[in-house]
Amino acid sequence: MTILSIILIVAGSSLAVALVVALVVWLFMPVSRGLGRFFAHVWTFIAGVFKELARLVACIIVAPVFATLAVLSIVFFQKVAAARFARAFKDEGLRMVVCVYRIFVGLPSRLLGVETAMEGIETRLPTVLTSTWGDAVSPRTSLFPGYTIVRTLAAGGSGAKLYVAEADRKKRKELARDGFAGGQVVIKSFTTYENDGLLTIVRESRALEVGRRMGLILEHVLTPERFYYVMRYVPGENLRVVTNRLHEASGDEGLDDARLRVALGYVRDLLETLRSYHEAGLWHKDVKPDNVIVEPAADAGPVMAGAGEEAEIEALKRSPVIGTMERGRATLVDFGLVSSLRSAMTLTTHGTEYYRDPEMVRRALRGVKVHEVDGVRFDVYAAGAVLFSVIEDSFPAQGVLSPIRKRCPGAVGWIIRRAMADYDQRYESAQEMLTDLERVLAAEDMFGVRPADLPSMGGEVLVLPAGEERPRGRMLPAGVGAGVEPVALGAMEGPGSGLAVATTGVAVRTQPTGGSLIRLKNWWTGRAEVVGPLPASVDTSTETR
Amino acid sequence: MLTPVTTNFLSRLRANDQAAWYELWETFGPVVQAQLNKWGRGRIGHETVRDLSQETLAALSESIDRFDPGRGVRFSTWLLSIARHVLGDELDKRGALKRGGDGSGGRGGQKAGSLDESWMVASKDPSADEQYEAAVFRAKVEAAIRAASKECEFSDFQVFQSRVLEGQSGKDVAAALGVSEPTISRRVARVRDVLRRRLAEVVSVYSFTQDEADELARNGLARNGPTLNPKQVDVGGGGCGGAEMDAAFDQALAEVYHRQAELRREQSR
Repeated sequence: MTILSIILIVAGSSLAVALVVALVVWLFMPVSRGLGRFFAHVWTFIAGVFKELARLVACIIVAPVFATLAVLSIVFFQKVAAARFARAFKDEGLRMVVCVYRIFVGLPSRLLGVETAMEGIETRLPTVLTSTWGDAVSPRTSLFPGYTIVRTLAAGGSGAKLYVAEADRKKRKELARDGFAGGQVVIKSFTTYENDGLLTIVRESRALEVGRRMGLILEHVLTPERFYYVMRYVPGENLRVVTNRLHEASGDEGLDDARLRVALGYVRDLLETLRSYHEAGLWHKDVKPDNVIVEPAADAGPVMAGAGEEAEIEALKRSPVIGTMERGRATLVDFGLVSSLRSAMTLTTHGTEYYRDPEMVRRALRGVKVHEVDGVRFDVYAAGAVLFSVIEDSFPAQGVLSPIRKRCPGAVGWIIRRAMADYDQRYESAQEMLTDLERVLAAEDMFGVRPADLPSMGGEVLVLPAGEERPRGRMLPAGVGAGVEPVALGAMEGPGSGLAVATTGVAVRTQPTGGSLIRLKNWWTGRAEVVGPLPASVDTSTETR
Repeated sequence: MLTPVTTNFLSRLRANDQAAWYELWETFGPVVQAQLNKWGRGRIGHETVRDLSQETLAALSESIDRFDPGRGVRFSTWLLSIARHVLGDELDKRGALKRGGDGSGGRGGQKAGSLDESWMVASKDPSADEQYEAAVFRAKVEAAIRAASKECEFSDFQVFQSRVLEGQSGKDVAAALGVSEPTISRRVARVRDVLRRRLAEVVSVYSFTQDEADELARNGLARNGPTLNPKQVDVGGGGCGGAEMDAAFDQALAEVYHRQAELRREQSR
């Protein structure tokens, strides 16, 4: 064997080995990769099954806990908590269903490589269903993006649906930029295809931007299916119900002093709200007791419940506040008929009988435009009717001629009639009526105030007790009325002083001993000037009943 | 006996003047409602009565062109006959529904739920007709008071309302308003004059017969020299001076006002 032969054998062998190695590598790698993928696929399935099993077990453990908590909450009358636990229980139930589906259908189908076919079931079908039957498939979350519906409210006359809802975290952040402090919201929703939905939408939407600037509307949205707007939810009972309770507790003669003061305080809240509406160029148009919600005070029990009645009355008498804060605040709700005072639309007869000025109907029937009338006066009429209803626990069936039979200070009777008087003779503004009402509320003996003492009749204006926290600044967020900021009048008072307010140009009094007579120059900035010492004859008592 | 104001008002109704129809509804709607309630005697609910009283006015608007008030029918009778017709229709519909029909065919040859007079004789009160006529008259007076309240200064009318309609003493009213008693008397007199004129106008508009037009005098509310109703005021043997006439007028007006208020109160329950 020559050297050449040896070299050739070695080279050939090496080449053969290399070829074999190359062949082995060429063949083995895809197979091994395939095997790897296969084992990974199987492992994914096994791990997925275990994961879903773990979730299922967790759900099986947690769901009964939520159910138990929901039942316990019901037992202890914790309605909101019960609803939340019930929702959590329902969510756990849904998770269990999903787990079972994944273990027995989803994961095995993926193991067998038919996930493309499953896509139709798991992705496209829910998408189609949600877009088609969205409300039915997931009514709580799909109707209004960013909100979860908690419950529904009775529908109003406009045919709209009302929902109480909670904003999700992202939405809360958005709304917080507009001053939303959190809590539940009310969503008023109109479908675009029902009845005269579009007309209603157009009517309602006209005032919404102003409403949003006032902080009354959080947002409004128009989609192809629906138009809705979101408002703060005001928990509480309407003024008709509250008035009824106050009268039941007082007896047939009418409201006793303490309850009368509370009831008049609610009307004062209403007038303050109306004033802000009017200043923003809006007209509510549906002021009535049912649209005034009395929020329960944070520390208040049931309003005038039978038990502990005497104690409640005593507490009211001791209260330094003249009629509003101790029972919670009255808030005007329902944006359904709100119009711009300067609207070019034709006046309509919408409103509620007995609280709607008949003169408005007459003018509407003559076809006048909204801007041709003073809508403020129609709201003032309704406020007078509301004041009548809290005194009488009934509606003014004869309009301004309705007799006042129950216990009522003469000055309040006068205010009612002045508010409900003929269009040209009634109060020109909610503020004018408010000033009169505050004069009565500021008096220790409301029955001692004569009509002649009312500011509108040339009488003196009110002196509020020292230290009272005026709620006025809380009524509206900043920016109300085209940049006019409502003034927190409490800011005017110094320690130990009384707060004195009046319309521009009317003398008012502050109340430290030997106080000064001041003239309020600007209602909104609170700018005032001292015009002289307080006359000795003025009663500056700070006590209220 | 049709006065120009009556003819004018009927012309407005015929011309479908919505404001005139609303005026009619505002004035007489509660009376029609009360009458329907009485006829229904619990057989028809409150809401149905409200609907029916509106339908009465609608039926009135449909028949106004065929109506000839010159034939001597009373305004109140005209109003009542329409109300009766509307209620009859409603009862017919209900009867038809009970018998298995669709309730849409009117009387259909069968007499159902007729408004027989026996409904009205069980009560010992004055007959329904008398009560109804009184209610229609009170509604006219109320409309006149409302018109006067619009025409007079607010404070003047409030003085009148407190003094005459609510029966407060002149001294109390004067004290409440910080004025003298003679001022109160002057204001009351001013409103009383307006009211007398308005009463004459309103009654004239809503009266088709002389008998209806004479109702003011019969009730002590005539504009000039009323024929006082002896049941309401004893004028004595010495004749009727201006002050006495005014007092009688005030008393009669207050009585009508309170009865009307009572009717409204009952309806609101």
